[in-house]
Amino acid sequence: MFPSALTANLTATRGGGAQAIAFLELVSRSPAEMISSTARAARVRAMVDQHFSFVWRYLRGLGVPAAEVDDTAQQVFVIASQKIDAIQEGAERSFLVGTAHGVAANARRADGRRRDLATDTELETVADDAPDAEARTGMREELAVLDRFLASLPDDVREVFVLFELEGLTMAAIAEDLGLAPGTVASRLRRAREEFQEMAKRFQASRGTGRRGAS
Amino acid sequence: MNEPSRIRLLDSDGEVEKSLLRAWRTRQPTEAARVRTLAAVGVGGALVTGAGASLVPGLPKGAIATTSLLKWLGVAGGIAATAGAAAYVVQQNRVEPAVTAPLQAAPTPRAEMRPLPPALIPEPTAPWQSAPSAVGPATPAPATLPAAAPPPAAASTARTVPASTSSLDQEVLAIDHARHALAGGDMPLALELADAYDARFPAGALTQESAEIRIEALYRSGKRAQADRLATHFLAAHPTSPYVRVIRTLQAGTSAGATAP
Repeated sequence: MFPSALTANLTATRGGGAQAIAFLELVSRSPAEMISSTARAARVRAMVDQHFSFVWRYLRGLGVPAAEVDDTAQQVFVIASQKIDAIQEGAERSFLVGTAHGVAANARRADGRRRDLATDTELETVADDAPDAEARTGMREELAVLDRFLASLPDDVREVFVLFELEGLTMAAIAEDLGLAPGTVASRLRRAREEFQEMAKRFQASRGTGRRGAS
Repeated sequence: MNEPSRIRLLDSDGEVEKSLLRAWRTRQPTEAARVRTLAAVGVGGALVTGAGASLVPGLPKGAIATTSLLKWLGVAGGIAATAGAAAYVVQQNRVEPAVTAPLQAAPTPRAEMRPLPPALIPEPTAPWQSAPSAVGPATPAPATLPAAAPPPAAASTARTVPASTSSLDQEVLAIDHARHALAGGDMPLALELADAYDARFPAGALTQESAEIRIEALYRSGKRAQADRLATHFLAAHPTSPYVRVIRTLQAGTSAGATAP
């Protein structure tokens, strides 16, 4: 640290003062501090690059509304960055998954009211690669159905389904990330899949009915 | 563990199931959301400094970090020797906070680390927790993270911007600086930097961040009428913004020191 008198002087100097303080703080660091902070920043950066999309979608899968998912994903990474020294190398995803649960629960509580999931899906930018407006509409409809299905599942079943079927994690990885016994993961997945297939049948039937009605 | 096949890969399941699951993957965060998160965790500056490994394809991340460190260590002495002179210049000239040259030359400040309720921060437990190390204790990280160190050359060539620096990188830096001023309690500077951002990037990707900073700075400066007007306009223009809750909190006056998410 540089002398406090100098800090006070610079603080009093509006504008350039803040920049100069940051500058002096930086150059006053010891080499070990610089190495440590640079390595930490690089690790945080890599964590965001590698896991941001996953965490963002996972939060959606846990029921965080579209309007709040950017904000909530940011909170997850802020927490992880604050804890980065305590997170074992390679265990970042486990930490992020655990943190996402807590943050998502808070976001849902704060949201308070029950949102219309179909309307919520309308807020999203979906299917940039969809060929036309009809395809995009179909994609939105499917996402809305999927959201309603996920919302109907108990939290413990939903998280396993999202991680396995939607995000493609292995069962072993899910067991590790959630701190569950492998058998528990398997039984929750089995239950979720049964319900998913029932829901898909109903969706197909309703879509067929709709199309026949329209023709 | 016997790994079951995923539904979307099974032949036995219907196209409806597969189509539903495929639709999930069309959900992607925006680039702006990722950039905002990088800025919030204090590594937004890495976009410009090159400390982020993704800027140098083909080189391993460790090599880049090491190279950056060696460069730093090599010139740190020289920089330290000029620090006193820099302070003198600041005091004498009262450097005006333009967003352009001086800010880009200065070391990237830490992006504001927003205070979070303690309940949101889980205690380190297995399986992700680091084992205690003989080198350093596995204590929680400090409340804020320093940004990646910028190349020292930037300090000496104060008024240049790397040619490869994209507009988005510069936008992140400008917002970083405004947030830093906000976090440091320098509301006039935060307002000036928000204005400077808007003037420089009228159609920028981070205009919501700029607006949120301005609104928060006005509230914290006690300029409530002006802040209310801007807040109302913001909420009408961006009803789904991630900053809606923050701005409503500021409007309600329940948290005078509230910061953005």
